[in-house]
Formats: sequence, C-alpha cells, structure tokens
Amino acid sequence: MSQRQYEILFIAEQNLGEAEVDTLTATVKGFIEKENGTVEKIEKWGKKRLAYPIGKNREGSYVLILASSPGSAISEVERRMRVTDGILRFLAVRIDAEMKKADRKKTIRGKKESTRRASVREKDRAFEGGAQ
Amino acid sequence: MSDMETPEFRGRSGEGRGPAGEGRGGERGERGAKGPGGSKGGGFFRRRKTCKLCSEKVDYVDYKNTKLLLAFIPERAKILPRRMFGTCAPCQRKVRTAILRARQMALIPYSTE
Repeated sequence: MSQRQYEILFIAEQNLGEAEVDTLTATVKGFIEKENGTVEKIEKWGKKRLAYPIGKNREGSYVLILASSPGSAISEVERRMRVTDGILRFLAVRIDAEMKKADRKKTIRGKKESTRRASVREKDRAFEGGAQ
Repeated sequence: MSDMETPEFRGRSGEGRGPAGEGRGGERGERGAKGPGGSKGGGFFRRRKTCKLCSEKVDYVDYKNTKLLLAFIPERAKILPRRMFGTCAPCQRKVRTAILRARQMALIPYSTE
C-alpha cells in the first residue's frame, strides 16, 4: 500500500495542561499507528492565542504531527479525532504532492542558475583570452 | 514555528492603498498598459505589478506561515482580489487555499471589526 505524507495539526482545549496535551498527542499517534501509519515528527507549538474564540476558548495548544500513512487510513484517523474530547479543531493535509512539486521547481531553478553562471564564466574567460 | 522556508514580506501590502487606489501605485510609470481613458491627455500610467510569490521564489505556500499570509490580507482580513496585488493566477490560488486553511485553524482571523 502506498504511503502518503500527511500533516495533521490539531488544537487542544485551553484548560488542558502540558501533560494532558502530551497524552492527547499520544492518543492521536495511536490512531495513526493503528491504521498502519508511521509518525515521523511531532512539533509542539505550545499555547497560542487563537485568532478568534472557538467556543469558550481564547487560547489553544497547537500540535503538529507529520505522518506517512496509506490514504484510506486518514479518514478513519479524522473520524476518531472528531470524537475525541479535548480536540478543538484539527486539519489533516496531504503534503507529498505539493512538496514534490516544490522540490522539482527548486532543482530546475538551481540548474538554470548554474548554467547561467557557467556561461558568464565562459564569457569572462573568452574576454581575458582576447586581452592577452 | 515550522522549519520550512519562511520568507517574509516587508510590511503589509494592503495598507495605505485602499480599494480606490488600485493601480495608481507608480508615479514614475514604467511601461504600463494604458488604463481606461489613457489616451486622453494626462492619463495615468499603470505600473506593471509582478507576482510577489514568483519573484520571491516561494514554492510552497504554507498555511502555517502566517507572516506570509498576513501580507495578503488587509486590516479587514478579507482576501483581496488578484488585481490588487498582481499575483499570478496559480499563486493566487495557492494563497487562497492557504488562507482558508489558516482561518479554519484560527491562525488568522476570518474578519476583524
């Protein structure tokens, strides 16, 4: 089964302490691993002020999870997250396609840059050669 | 925040240029398409706007990169049309999706009073 890269960001409620957020993260990690996915990276942003209140929460703890899992699994992970208490919002985004595109652009640009430099060097050499 | 590229745009481009001031940016008028009524005397030149994202070489518009996105939303926090910023169509689409995502995650507001 092909694995795809996902980026899952969720907001935990403001009244949860750091330890509780950690357990929540572990739960979500469990959801992913149950569906044959692997968690690659967990980034905790800590408590941040929300741009607008969600329910009674003015703040929320953000946690970002980078995972690779089969595409069919993510809907189940989402369903489970939806019924988990303590999660205000979540967003799962597939990023592998976008990243690939970005990488390709970058390499193309790098190549262009290097050929341009090479041509400039060539010209320089020709100029110096003519001067001698 | 994230370890991906986080290019910043200087200032918020929406400021100081209300909806009415569209396209009146450059007094110097470097080769611009003639605006409406441009041929009648004293017509203003339109500065050709270039896509910021293309020129800054942003490959992936990340919804988590609020600094970048805030450059595209004025004080009212509305997404401004393309003609205000001169972003190219593909870039504007990317910006739009990113803003919608960031809004959902309460990273940037839907609107401000």
